[in-house]
Amino acid sequence: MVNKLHLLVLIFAIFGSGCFRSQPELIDGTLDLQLRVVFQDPVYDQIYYLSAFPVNLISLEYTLKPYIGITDTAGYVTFENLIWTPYQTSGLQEVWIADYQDTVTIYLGESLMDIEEISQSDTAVWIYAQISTNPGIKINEIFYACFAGPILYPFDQYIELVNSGSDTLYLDGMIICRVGPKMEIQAIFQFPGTPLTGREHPILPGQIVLVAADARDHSQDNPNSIDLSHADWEFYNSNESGGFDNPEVPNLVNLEVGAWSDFGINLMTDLVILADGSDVEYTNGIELNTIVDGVEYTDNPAIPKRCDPSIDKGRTGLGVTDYSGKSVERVRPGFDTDNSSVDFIILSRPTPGYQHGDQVQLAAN
Amino acid sequence: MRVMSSSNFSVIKKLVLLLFLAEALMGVDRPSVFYLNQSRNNSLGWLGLSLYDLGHNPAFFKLANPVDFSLYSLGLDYWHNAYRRCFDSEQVRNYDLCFYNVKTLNEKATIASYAGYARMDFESQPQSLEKNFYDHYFALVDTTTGNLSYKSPHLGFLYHYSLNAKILAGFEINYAVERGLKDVYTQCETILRDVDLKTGIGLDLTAIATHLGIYGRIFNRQGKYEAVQEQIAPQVFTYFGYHVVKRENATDLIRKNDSNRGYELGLNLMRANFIWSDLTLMLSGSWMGAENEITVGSIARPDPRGYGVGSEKKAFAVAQYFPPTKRSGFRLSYTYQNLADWAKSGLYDVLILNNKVQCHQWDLLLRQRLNSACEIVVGGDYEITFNDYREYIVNFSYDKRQRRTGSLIKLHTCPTALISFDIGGSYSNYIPDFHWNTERFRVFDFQTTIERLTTFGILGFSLNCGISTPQETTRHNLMIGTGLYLKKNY
Repeated sequence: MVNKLHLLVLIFAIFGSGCFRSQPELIDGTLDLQLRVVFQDPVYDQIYYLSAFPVNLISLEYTLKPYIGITDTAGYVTFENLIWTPYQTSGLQEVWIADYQDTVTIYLGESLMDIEEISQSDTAVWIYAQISTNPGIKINEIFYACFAGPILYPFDQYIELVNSGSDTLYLDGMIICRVGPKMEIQAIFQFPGTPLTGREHPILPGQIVLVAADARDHSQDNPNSIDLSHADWEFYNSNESGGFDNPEVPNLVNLEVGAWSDFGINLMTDLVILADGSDVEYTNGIELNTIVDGVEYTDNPAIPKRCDPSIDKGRTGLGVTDYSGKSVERVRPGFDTDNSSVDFIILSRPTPGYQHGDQVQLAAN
Repeated sequence: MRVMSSSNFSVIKKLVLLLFLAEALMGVDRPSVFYLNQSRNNSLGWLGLSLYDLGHNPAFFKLANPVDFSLYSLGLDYWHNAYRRCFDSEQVRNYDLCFYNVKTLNEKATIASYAGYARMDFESQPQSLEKNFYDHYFALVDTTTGNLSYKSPHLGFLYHYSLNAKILAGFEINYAVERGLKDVYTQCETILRDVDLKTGIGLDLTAIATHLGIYGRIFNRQGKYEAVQEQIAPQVFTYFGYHVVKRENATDLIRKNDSNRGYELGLNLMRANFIWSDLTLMLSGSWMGAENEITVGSIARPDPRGYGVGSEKKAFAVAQYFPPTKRSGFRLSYTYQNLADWAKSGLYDVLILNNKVQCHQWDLLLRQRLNSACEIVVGGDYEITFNDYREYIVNFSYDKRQRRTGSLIKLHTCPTALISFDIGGSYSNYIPDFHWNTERFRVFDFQTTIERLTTFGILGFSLNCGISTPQETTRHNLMIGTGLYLKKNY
């Protein structure tokens, strides 16, 4: 009997030995953060502390409204009672730069990932603003989310291109690709003409070119959708059974062997690239130095980034859900910092063939 | 949902759950404040509690089951929730089948075994990928409404042993697995496994009419959720508390692992013939602690999503007086529960919510024998709950005091030597938790059971139905339950 009692005592001792982690001392929603927004002029190596500069802090963890602040005269902005989460900063303003004797567009796009370390710092965190550069042919707008309607209708996607330079450029032989999570080419369509040397399909300075998945009036099938019958170009795959082809609109043609579907991109997460077409051997990827522009979008910041930072350091589309009818477009035609987190804004409705203006209401994130 | 389901078990299912499975089921969804609601109406309608009924100390199993028996039971329940919360389903169907057996092996040893199979269908359940969204602080949802079906076999085994005339010991193990599937994308598949071990030791001091016991319990529940996404697909979110969401990674497969483990220690005391002859006093107290760890992503390298710890202190005091030779009897009981939970996010060591609940409940039952074949039971209970629930990500707090009152009446008759018949009803009125979005609920419940002694044993049929009505609307929630059972005493 004594042995049995020992056994029972042992069992109770095992029960009592378990212990759990202790309750954290820090409470969420009590984080204070001081930022200083600065612009370091790369030409004159001059530092400007940007005053009255709008700063948005967007949580990369939770779906919440952004925190909004404005810098004081010394460039400081303080946020109080923040939640503990990594943040993406954003902000955009026209700033007079004395050295340039001109007004330039300055933007914020840094991420604040290591909040734990930042919280222990006694000094303000410097956020470096940057200036827009790089003229040329750009992807100006991507409408990928599509519209809700009586049926699921993912056929009204389109891509807008713009020439942000001051010279006429040519689309001949250029390719538009959809790139998958493993950087594999999932769709590849090409403009007609000879890459690099062709001069048949010009795009004038400031001109916006609309490339539709299907160049037709989609509102006839989905009352909420848009009319793309006036598109400049149309994606077309001759292998697609019963695929739509508007005879009045020239086509980008499919290059992928065995592909049977028309051009389509993911309604929430994807990477679209525009390349000069000198490398169309897609099975081993596309040469990085042939890529003219690339835009990565996602509704979810937790997804691993797929695009090379030299093409796109950021991502747009946070908060754009499928069938929401929202679109992403550059803040102004061709505004490009190779960071789509700041280059693009979210529109509540697409603007096919034209740049959004004051009449277009920005969608809340 | 829970309000209905907790208060409307048929008689036979109450028996089975209380005797054997209640502890295992109670350990499943810790930590959660809403766990407390399971105790509502728990003791109404029950006469002659034993010490085993209070703490479920397996060392006292024989006090509750002095006679060997076999029980075969089939139960069917249906809930129609016209008034429901955001993530509750419109209709719920429950089917369960069980076999339960108690066998005395010799003068010292008794074994009991249980085998059961349950199926629950949740129809038109919006978004929630959990069986009960409101029991979880880190709950998975998607953007579709679908039907979820859960299938669950249960096994249980109990061994009771008298070391000598004074020392009793018991060991109990419960094991259950459950598989659930949503019928539309994201076609979330749920696999749950629950292991619950309990052992106890008791002293039978017959000379001073006293029983004294101590028990310990460990439980471990592992849950895995797998939701599928496609290109044109619904999205998956995780709720942190009840107000903040995180959009999950839009990969093809969303995985969530829910690990829940804990332990419980308890003490029991029973004194018979306390002050008066046939007056029994029972005291029981327990402390339970549990931790809940949520991870997401790949099995090889999961990302922490959240962590929570909960503790519960519970105490019962029961005085009952049901002398077999007298017409009248009563039972007076008091229950105290104290819950304290907290949770942190997976990314940082910061508190995102905490929850404290205190609950006091008083029950009174009066029995009056009208004649040798008929008795009536009336009762009432009062419960007061102090809540202090806080979320820190969005600065939400709920510290309302909740009250509940209840009453019941029950008539038991034996028209012939072979047939017995129970009929009764209850009414309760209470303030529900904040996510019900109503100030008050009223619940009417009707129960009837008929039993007939046959050559195969006691054949019983039970029927109960309940209606719960929120204060602000005319919508009623309906529950109908039936049970068919055969019990054979040896």
